Amino acid sequence: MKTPIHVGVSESPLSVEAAADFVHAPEHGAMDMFVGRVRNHNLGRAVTSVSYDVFAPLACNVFRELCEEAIAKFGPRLRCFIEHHQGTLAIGGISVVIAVGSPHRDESFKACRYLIEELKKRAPVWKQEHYVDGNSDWVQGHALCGHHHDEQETCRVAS
Amino acid sequence: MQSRINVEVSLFGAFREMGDAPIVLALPGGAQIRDVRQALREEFTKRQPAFKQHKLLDVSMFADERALRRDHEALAADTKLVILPPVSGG
Repeated sequence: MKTPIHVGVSESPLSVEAAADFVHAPEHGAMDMFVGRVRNHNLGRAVTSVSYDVFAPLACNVFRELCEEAIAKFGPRLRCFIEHHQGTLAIGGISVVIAVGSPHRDESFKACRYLIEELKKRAPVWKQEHYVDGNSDWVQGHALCGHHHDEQETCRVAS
Repeated sequence: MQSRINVEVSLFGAFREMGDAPIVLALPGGAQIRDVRQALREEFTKRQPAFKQHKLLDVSMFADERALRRDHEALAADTKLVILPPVSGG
């Protein structure tokens, strides 16, 4: 059987077709996909493009760990795909593709939601928005471990 | 124990404003991750006397290519680290 997990970070355009192909299996009757795209506004400011900074080695470790968690939580027959873009994207560009294939729809929906929500909190990726007025700002995000740098229980990112 | 060790810290996210090249810090042997945070604070302040990102530095984590590194962890000689400000992927 093919390995059930694919993860990656790419400077090339992401492919939803590749994600769909990867998670397909003959015994699966469902696939759920999340596609993140660059929108033209944020917090009242007009956005022209977004740059994504990624620490790729650790990001891939985190993506793989998230997929393993999803398979453990939602079913051993899941197939999971995560790719994130690195570099600058114009409005409408695809920043992240997550896909899950499963025998039935319930576990695909749940696993896909789990993967994107956890990715946003745990993956070493940073977003810099560029605005119509020429300014740029790094988006405030989720602290990987809050202020408690020695606490273990809330901060497990990669084994 | 070595008397001095070199720690190379790569910058990501908002810390890119401090430069694209990794920062090399010379620390005493036996230094911990918390000492890297303090040395980086001093280096940032030296580079930009008006450096105001102290809170961002406080809430950022250090990591290597495999995992997060805790403040109490001791450093091996010639360690490569990255500093990870709060994340905003997706």
